[in-house]
Amino acid sequence: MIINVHYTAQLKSSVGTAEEEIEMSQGKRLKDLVEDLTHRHGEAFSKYVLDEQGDLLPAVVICLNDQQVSLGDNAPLTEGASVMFLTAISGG
Amino acid sequence: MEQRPPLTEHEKAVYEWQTWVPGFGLEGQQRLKNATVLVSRLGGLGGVVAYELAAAGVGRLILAHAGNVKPSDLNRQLLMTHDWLGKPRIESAKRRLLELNPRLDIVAVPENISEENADALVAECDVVVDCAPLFEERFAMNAASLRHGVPLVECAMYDMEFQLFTVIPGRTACVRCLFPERPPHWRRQFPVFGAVSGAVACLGAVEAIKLIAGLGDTLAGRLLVADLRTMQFRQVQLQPRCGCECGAAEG
Repeated sequence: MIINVHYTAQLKSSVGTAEEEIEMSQGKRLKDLVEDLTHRHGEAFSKYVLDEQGDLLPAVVICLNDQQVSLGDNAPLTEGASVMFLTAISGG
Repeated sequence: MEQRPPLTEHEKAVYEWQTWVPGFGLEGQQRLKNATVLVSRLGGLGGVVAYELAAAGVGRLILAHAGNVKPSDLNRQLLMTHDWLGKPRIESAKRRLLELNPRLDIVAVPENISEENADALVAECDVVVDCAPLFEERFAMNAASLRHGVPLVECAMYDMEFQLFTVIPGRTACVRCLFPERPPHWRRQFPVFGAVSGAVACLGAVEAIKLIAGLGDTLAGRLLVADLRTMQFRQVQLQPRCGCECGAAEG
């Protein structure tokens, strides 16, 4: 199945793209996607998303199909799902 | 909301075209006149928020911003001018706003929001618009707005992106629901065009006007995320976080 991944702000700059399609096998869940992206992008992804223990940084918001979700819920992914990693920004 | 004198004939003439907005009218205009709005920082975001609210006829603005005008402010901070370089930002802002609306009651605070001053300032207002660049300021403002039950409009931008949402204390997700801790990678300096910060500022001002006038649907519980590089706009349904100080998840 294809998952559409979107990045914002500093994370977008770090991974070098605003969005990409990730192919995953059926039955995969949100944590599997985070693991895949960590392998794919290395520190460019992980330093903005994960802490030193590999847990999600509190200042990252994950949205699945435009609904905020918790990584702890480990929601199942379906064909064509949209996942956005939203990093905290401020000011102007 | 404070009761101020009825709209004068001059005010009715100034605001005539916006009183034609369905659902707003003279009643909405009187509510704006009666309202007090706190704007935290008057940079590329807050300066434009204050300018739009002054133009719309909000009766009283409490404005908080420390420091003096620098050359690097002038690409986006529309209340700051070249002739005011090296002088207090808050004075430049006050002067510019009164040029636009001499009827405006301004409380000029030459400080940034902190845990020390947030409560006293928030207690006096009907709506808060948070445009601060530091998360310490945002957290202090969020906590004070929760304590006083004052709606909070959160404006943020980076590069050509912005985020905007509104907090109804105790009912919808607050700043700490989204960002429980200070983001470790946030830096005080960031890429910015004035037109981008001004865009989200105008939307933030609209949110404040809607909250005061009871007009339309606000972004309470919804996050508007936009990338002006591609002109993609998305809305995200926010979830109050269990255990957050705001209590919205348990409410």
